[in-house]
Amino acid sequence: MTPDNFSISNKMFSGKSPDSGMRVQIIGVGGAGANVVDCLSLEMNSYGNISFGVINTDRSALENSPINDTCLIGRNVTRGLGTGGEMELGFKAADQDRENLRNMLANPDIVFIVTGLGGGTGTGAAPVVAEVASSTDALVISYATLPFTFEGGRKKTLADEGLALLRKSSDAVIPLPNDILLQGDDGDSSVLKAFAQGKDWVRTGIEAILSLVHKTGLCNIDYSTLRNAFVERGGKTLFGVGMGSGQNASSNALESLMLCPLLRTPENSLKADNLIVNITGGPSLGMTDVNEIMTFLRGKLGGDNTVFGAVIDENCGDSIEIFILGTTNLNHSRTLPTESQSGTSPTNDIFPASSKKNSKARSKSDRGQEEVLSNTQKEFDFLGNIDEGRGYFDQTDKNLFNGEDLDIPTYLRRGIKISLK
Amino acid sequence: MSRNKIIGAVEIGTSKVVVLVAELTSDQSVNLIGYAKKTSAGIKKGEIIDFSSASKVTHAAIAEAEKNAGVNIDSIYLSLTGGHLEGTFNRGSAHVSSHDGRVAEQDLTRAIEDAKSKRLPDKRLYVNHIRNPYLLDQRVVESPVGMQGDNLEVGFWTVHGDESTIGNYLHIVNGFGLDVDDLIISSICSGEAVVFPAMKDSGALVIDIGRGTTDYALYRNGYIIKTGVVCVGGDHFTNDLSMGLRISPREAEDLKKKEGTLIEDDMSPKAKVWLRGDFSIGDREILSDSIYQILKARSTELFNTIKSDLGELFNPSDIAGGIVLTGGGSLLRGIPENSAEIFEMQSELGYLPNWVDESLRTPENSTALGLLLYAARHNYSSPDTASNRGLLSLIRGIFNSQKTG
Repeated sequence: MTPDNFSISNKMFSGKSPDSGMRVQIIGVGGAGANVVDCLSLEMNSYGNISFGVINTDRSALENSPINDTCLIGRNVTRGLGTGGEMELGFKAADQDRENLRNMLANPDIVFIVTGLGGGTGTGAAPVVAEVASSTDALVISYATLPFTFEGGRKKTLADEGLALLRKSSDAVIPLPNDILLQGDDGDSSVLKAFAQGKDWVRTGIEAILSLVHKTGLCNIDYSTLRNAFVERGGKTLFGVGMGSGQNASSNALESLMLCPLLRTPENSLKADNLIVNITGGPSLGMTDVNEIMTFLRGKLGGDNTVFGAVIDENCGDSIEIFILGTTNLNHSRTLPTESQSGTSPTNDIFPASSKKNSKARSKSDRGQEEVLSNTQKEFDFLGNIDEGRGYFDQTDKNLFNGEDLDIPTYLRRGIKISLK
Repeated sequence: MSRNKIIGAVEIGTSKVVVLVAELTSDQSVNLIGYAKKTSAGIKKGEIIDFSSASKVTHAAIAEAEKNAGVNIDSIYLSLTGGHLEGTFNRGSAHVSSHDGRVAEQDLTRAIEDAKSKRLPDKRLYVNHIRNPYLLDQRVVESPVGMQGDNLEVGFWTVHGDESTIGNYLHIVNGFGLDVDDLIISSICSGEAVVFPAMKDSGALVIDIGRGTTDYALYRNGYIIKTGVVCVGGDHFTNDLSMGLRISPREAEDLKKKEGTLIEDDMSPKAKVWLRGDFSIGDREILSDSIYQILKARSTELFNTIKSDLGELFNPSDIAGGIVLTGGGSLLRGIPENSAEIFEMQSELGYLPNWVDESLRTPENSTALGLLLYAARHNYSSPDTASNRGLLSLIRGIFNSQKTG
């Protein structure tokens, strides 16, 4: 990042002051989402201006929630008994209660929706909740866990459908595949751990975004800048956290960021059109560190439109935490950053990653219809294929066998934990 | 005497395009006179995703092989793979029509036509009909003509593929100004190369692990009873490593070749290897066990996929010849052991017959060499009556090409 860019970002620091009373809502939708938000409400109560809410079709689950602000949806549809995994019911429930949802989402600035896709309520209702939240002009960021492969093909199909819908109605969706959560950093890889890990990712993600606009630091950004970083809806997101400490804190943090399991695609497919970076460090965090980190990230990830903040937190000591959130624009053929250190891989030269190739690969399908279909088809492909963790095979047709996509690494689908150290 | 026929065997694979040029002489021998190998472009999982790149590479390879051989190719044989291929078993039957109850040539023809008459869905094309033995009144007979009986039956393992996908391959070769004489699915080719007649008779399963696909063919009593393509190959092993270890595809490919293994190292579970080993910035240590875990998961799944694809046809007692592994992917350390573990039967790397020049005798070449053998047989006898036996004796080990690529 050049000094020029710094001055631009600094100029932007003019809007709301940290205590402007920005309203933040964290809403859990469905069983899985509510569980996470229940935990978060207990862990994050030190933040003054966050309100928590849970939305469910299951009355008894809501009654057990420690959160006061609850919303039972679809009384007429499910009689308060849950959806039994029917996405259609989840949708109807939320659709009927749009008025209640609107009351619940009263004028927030940022709404974080937390949900688990693959079931009924989360999959069906969360897109509606996101839609209602968007209609209040809030920034809507959704965190969605995706089912384990071993839960079977039906859940996966549902989750894919829900994810596509959620993408359209949220400013950014961060998918948290349970398969990947198993790949977390510590030795134990039980399913419970995976869920706890999922909750921690959500928390880290929310805190990092809030600290961008809340905490004071070297460079802050304001709400409207953050708002503008989300240019287009429906695209793929990139989400990662890295931490490092000691003498080479910034390079350690970068290294740990690059190993973040959520940035699981190989380097050359990491990319973002719009990139939000938050760097948190102790008092020793200097502009050189920030510069080093930003230069590295822009080289690696692209990001024509980068928003970043650097925050000083006395509690950090000599450690640095980097958080990145990127979004990609749809229908935008993009050139990747060219500075790759070890020579470009042969695949890069041959397939310059673009949707054009995709349509060529499809030319085997009916040529007559292709013209007509091309637009919808493109969008469908994009929504269907992204964030699957297929790496080299991202642009190719799915490789289905017994409902599983064989292009996705086997170890991920089988929940085999790979240690990196 | 007419000029000897010059044929080209072309494999347009995910990793490379191989062209073999051979001369078929009037005394029924095959002289391998030209060879070219080029790194592929525009192919993933055995299917063309970029027509012009794939076309360019193929044309360059054919031109080089022709130059190498010093003659022009008369016709091309092309191997074919990809997820679009599907197979079914079709039966046909005919009543023996002659008054003396002896099978005549036209009874055979009618039975065969009956078996082949199954209509395909739109936009599908037949690629290969692989004949299985004749049954005369439920008895297996090799050549029924002249034998006494009432009902003649014949079965075909029939492979069909997507019309436009196949069209693309043909267009590539036509674009060079050559015609494709025949298309043969890759698994049959590999079987021709590495499964010897005696093994086919006792039953064998050949598995060719390529870069983009894995092709298999199951032999029983000398006949192919099933073939299949699993769209998983060496690229998947590499991609898994790349994603699992968060390294670039190129690093993953190198690491797979250098350190990849399917054999667990019990002695030193914490052993590490350097990613690049050149002391460059960004080089880091990687747990050998992680490499093993990732590759083992993939390989185990691949073999299990084939096993479940074969279903009831997989019966170890019918496959006394064992499993023969070939293709570039079979070079990964521990592949035969893993196969033996999953299929619970003897598994070995296939070896190419020794009339093939040593420089060509690598598992990557088995498809192209098998294709050439198939083409030679096709030219010397009508395909339907060709026996699986004795072909090797037709071939003389005369090989005089410059090695390139």
